[in-house]
Formats: sequence, C-alpha cells, structure tokens
Amino acid sequence: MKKLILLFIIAALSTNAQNIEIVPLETNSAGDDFAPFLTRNKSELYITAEKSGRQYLFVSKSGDMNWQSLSQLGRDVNSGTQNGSVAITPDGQYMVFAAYEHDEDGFGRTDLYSARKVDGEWTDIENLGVAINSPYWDSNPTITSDGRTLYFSSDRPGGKGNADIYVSTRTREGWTKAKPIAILNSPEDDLTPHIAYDNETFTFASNRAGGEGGFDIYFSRVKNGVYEQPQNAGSPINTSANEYSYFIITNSDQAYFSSDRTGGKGALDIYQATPNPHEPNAIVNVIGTVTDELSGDMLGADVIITNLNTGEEIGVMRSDDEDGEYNVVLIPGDEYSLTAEREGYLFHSERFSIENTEEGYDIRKDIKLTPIGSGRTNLLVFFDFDKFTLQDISIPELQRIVRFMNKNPDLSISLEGHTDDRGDDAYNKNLSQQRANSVKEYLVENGIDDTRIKTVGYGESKPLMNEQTEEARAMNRRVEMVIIPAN
Amino acid sequence: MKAYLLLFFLLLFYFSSAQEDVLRPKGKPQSELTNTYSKDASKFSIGFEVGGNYNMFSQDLTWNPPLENSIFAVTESGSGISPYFGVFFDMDFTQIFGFHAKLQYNTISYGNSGEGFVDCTTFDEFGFISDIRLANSEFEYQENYSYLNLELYAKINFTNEFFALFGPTIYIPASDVESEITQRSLDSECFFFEDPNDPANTQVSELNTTITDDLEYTRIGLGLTLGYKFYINENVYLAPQLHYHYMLTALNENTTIVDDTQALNVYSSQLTAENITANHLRLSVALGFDIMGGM
Repeated sequence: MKKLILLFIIAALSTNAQNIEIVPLETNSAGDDFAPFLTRNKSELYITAEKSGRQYLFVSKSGDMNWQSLSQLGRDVNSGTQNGSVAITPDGQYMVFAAYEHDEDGFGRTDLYSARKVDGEWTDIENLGVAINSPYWDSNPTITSDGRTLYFSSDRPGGKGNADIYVSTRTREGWTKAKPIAILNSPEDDLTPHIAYDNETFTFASNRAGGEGGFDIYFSRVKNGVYEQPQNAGSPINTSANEYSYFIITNSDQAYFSSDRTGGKGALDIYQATPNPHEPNAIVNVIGTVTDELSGDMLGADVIITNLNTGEEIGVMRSDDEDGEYNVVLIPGDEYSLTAEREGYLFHSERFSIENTEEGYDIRKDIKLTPIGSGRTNLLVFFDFDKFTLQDISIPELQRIVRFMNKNPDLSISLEGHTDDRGDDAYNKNLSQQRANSVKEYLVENGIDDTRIKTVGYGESKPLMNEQTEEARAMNRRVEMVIIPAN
Repeated sequence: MKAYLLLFFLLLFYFSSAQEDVLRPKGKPQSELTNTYSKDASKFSIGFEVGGNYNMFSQDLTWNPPLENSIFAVTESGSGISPYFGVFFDMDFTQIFGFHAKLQYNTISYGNSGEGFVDCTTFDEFGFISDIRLANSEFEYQENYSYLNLELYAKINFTNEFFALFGPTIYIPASDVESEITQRSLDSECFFFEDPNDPANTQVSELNTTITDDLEYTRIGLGLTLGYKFYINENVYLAPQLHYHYMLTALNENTTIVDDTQALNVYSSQLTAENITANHLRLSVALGFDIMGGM
C-alpha cells in the first residue's frame, strides 16, 4: 500500500511540473552573473557580474535580444567595492542601483543610489537618502514603470527578520520613509523584488521554508496597494539550488532569472524561461522622438503624461539628449495627454486614447518642438459642450502656459479659438472668441500682463481637417497659442 | 615581533569572513568563495615602489674585564633613515589570497654618537709627556651600505584595497660597508694625534676616519607589510605601505677586538660584539598597474 501511494505522489508531482524551457544566456561567465534588467525597446540588457571577486554593472546591446558581448559601465557607477542590481525607468534616463563602499557617501554598508543618463553616459550619482537607505544593507531595487514606487530589500531591524522587502513612493517632497511589506516577508531572507511594467505583477526570491531548496522565486500581484499572498513558482523555475532576480519581459511570454543550478558555467548564471508562468497584464508602450521642427535635431525634453480620466500625472520623464527618444508605459483603457517642454521652445500638447488590449503593443508619437520666436501649439484645454467655462482638467495646461510666459517675459501670444462645423457661423465665432477669452482671463488672474495676450475667435473658418467625421471635428475644436513675433 | 604577528592574524580573522555584496547581505557563502573565483578574470599587477627605511642597528657588547665609560659603548645601537626603490609583481589567486614579489635596491644607513673617556696624554713645550689622564670625548659613527633585496610574500586581501604581505626577504650585498667615524675631544687640553709617530705635532681636536670593508653576508629576514590601495582610475593605484623587516641572520659574525682607549689609565679590555643585526621599519608608496584577463 505504501509503495502505491509513493508512486501516486511522484506521478502527481510530475504532472504538475510546468513545461517551461530554461536556456542560459551566452553572456554568462565562470563568476556570478545575476540581476538581469531589460530596458525599453528591449535593446539593452543590464546585468551584474563578478569580476576578480568584485561585482560590477555591465550592459549588452542588441537589436534582436541576441546578447553576446558585455561592456562595463563607467567608474561613476562602478566605483564601489561591489556595484550592481539595477532598475531603470522606461524612458531609459534614470537608474537606481546598489553599491557597497561607493565613492559617493552612503549611510553605512550597501546603499541605493540613483544615476542619470547624460550624453549617453550614466553619471550624476546621488544617494537616495535617509528615507530609503539605512546604516544596514539596502539593495535589490525595482521601480514601477511610472517611476513613482520603489521596492528594495533591506536587513534593517523592524521587518520580520533577516532581509525583508520594503516599499517607498515618490512625492514632490521626495521619497517617503520605506516600509516593510508584511504579507510578502518572512523570518528568512526575502530578496530581489521585481515589479513588472504593468505595475501589478510582482516576483521576489526567498529562502523561507516550504520551497524547493535554497532561494526560490515567488509570485504575487499588487493592486491599489493590496498584495496577494505569494506563491512558489515551482519547478522548473525553482530547483534545490538558488534562484534569484526573476525579471518579466514586457509584452512577451519570456522572463529572465538567475540560478546556480548545476549545468551552468559555474556560480550564478542568467537563464531565459519560456513561457513565463506568471504573465503580466498587457501594457502599451508609447515611444517617440522629440526633435526640433526646423533643424530636425534630436532634443532632450521633459515629457509629461497625464491620465485625463483621473487627472493623475502618470509620469514625468526626459527624452534622451542624444537620440531624442522617450518611452512611457501606459495601461490600456484610458485617455491620456502628452506634453513636451524644453527651454527655448514652444511646448507641445496632445491627447490620445488607448483601447483595451490583451496583447500589448507599441504606439509611436514623435514630437516636433518649435523654437520660440514663431510657431503655434495646440492647447489641451477643455470646455463643456457649447460652453466657454474651462474644465478643471485644463488647469495643468493653463499652468504650463503661465510658466512659459513667465520664463519668456518678452513674448506676446495670440490665443485663437476654433470650433467644428456644426452650428451657426456667427454663433461659432462668438463661442470660439469667448473660449479664447476664458483662457486669457485665467492667465491674467495668474499674473500675466494682459497686454501680452491677444484673443481671436475664428469659429469654423480654419479647420485642421475638412472631413465631417467625429474624429476630424474633435481635432477642429481647439484653442491654439500662437507666438507673436517681436517685430 | 610577536605583537606584530598577533595583530596580523587578528586582522586576518576579522577580514576573511565573506564580504556583503549587492545580492546578499551576508555575501557569498564561504564554501563558494574559492570555487567561483574566475581564472578567466584573474588579476595581476606590476609597478614601482619608493620608500624610506628606518634602520635599527644593535649589537651586544661585552668587555672583559669590564670597562666603564668606553667610547665604543655608543656602538651598541644606532638608527638612521635611508631610501630605497624597486619594482614589484603582484598576483591574486583567489579573492583573498595572492602572491607578491619585490626586487629593490635598498640602502641602509644608521649611526649614533655618545661620550666616553679616553686616555689623554699631554706634552710640554719640549715634546715630553707631561701628564696622562682620562679625558672626556665624543665618538660618532655612521655606517652606510646597500643591498639588492628579493622579497617573496604571501598576500592576503582583507578587502579589495586593504592587504597584508608576509614572507621571506633576501638581502644580497650590493656594496661595501663604509663607516665614517668622528672622534671629538671635549677636553680643551686633550687632542687626538693624526700621526701617532709624531704626536706632538699632529694634534687635532677632531679626528675623522672613513673605513671601507666588505659587506660579506647575504641575509635572510621576514617581512610583514600592511598596505592600502587608492585607485586613481580603474586599473591604476597608489598603495602606501608600512613594512617591518625582522632579520633572521646577523649582519656580521661575532667580533672581538681589544679596547685600549683607556689602556694607559685603566687597562686594555677585550671587547666582544655579538648578535650584530639591523632590523628595518619601512614606509613606501607603490604605483601599481592592474592587468586583468577579460570576461
């Protein structure tokens, strides 16, 4: 009887094993290779690798995710005795990494630092500060796609014991004091948290009891600050060896993770798992370039995405100084505004919707900025139907105009109101004039000299699109800001 | 020497536990430390080193029969500073252990001065001895010589910057010993004779003598070094180091001479010098260039 039961258990375990292909990366070495991080467009893979007993950050670049050679990041980042475990925002401009005995002062032991990409190089290193770091070991950062929530591991007292997972959010005043996530943590070591770009799908490693042995990968999800009870990822992701750093690849069925299982090149190696059993929600990647409309030069500019349904500013990022590229991850099913600002240029604003999708896809939105001195831009201001009262959702854009006017005190502008083709010409002309006046009134109330602002109502006389579709009419209903040349 | 060894092993114990890293708060498990050190990524360094010795000479002097206030008593000890320079080769086998070798041109210099009594013979205007007594005089000596040092060390890395070296040092003679001796009379009525055959006419109050002798013996010592690397860039570092060299072999064989500096007033005495040695405390700066294998 006993023998039959044993066979039944073995059979049950076998049928529960997932059919996942585990393949080591070509970049693995005889030393430790771990903490994989794949950036926007999947064109750069950052890893942490051991070299002569020290850990350094490396990057591999490829157009087709065929990772071959590694380049070590510069000394600005890699000046510590140990450096690595990186998280980068989707725009590729801001990095959080961990370092032990870095040249930049810390609070004791391993700390978290930030870096910015300037002219293609990671530099401008700063310690994340006392809200995040402690005199203890603080490492393994991961950051949400909007750059606003940071997760990391720390062995400071106050958790459940040993190393625990902590969370902090970014406000205008800076990072909030990090707090442990009780439901995820255990009395053992809980390391390498990772949040996927959908800001919900969560993974981490732990050597708590009840796993396959050593450190195992655990899956969870988070929504509105509530975390699901973590589940062991099971075999073949987990083995009796150690598994860490489970990284979910956006809009794909693959993941990377680190393991020191037998059969690798030695020590920790990075593996690719296909399919990833812990699928994230589909996300939409909005990518584009910011360029000078006249010269075509690539520009680094501040790009701001706002959810128009909630009014929440989803992300503020900067397009790359060298190639002008920006990237932001958005959740389908909402309406958004996109603005781009740069000193010396007229800002750009537009709105767009992202339909629900199960697949995830990329949207391309290239932005052309016009140098100050001439040009026009469409303003993201909203009015109720047949009214000229500004909706509250217009306030961010109106504030943007106020800042722009204050930064350029010699400029004068013309606010031009337009309507679609429905209704009486004279009525539309009057409505468009009144809408332009509403915008002027807001600006004057916020300190802009009214002699710098002209208003014109064009009604339906200057459409952008001549079609009579709802989309065309929506485009035609607008208020534009036009720079009045100095002469 | 015992104190230095104790400090060395205490530091070794403190620093040899696994260092934390960005993945694990307690670092890599000890069992994996040597297994995973990558030969593909092994590192060696070459470079230059310059520094200064603080030399500490000593010998045990015995007079038979005992002779008090001999001017030679000052030669019981001596100290001095001298420079050295050389090249080095450094290689790490694992994260903690490695090998270090130095080849140096090492100058040794030390001396001392002190007072004692010597026979003083005074002469009248006719050149006849008028008085014999003891007079106070000063004896000063300086010895200079050089070696070619070959130093072979086991290296221990406490951290990636802080290291220690321990091992044998071989001192190969590279010059003669030059001894500069100065004797000064502190008694206005007593003088030294430049020509003992014509003492009355060759009186001087200060007598300088230079003696050159063979530096015969290759010496073996033990060296202990503590150093710290300051990286200028990824592959170049400056490493100030503090060394102590304890010589296991004597500077010279035991020597016996006749001390007749007070023979006229007291007696001649047999002076034996034993345990003749010179140890060295050194401070140096090395300029090192890391040469690593690729990943």
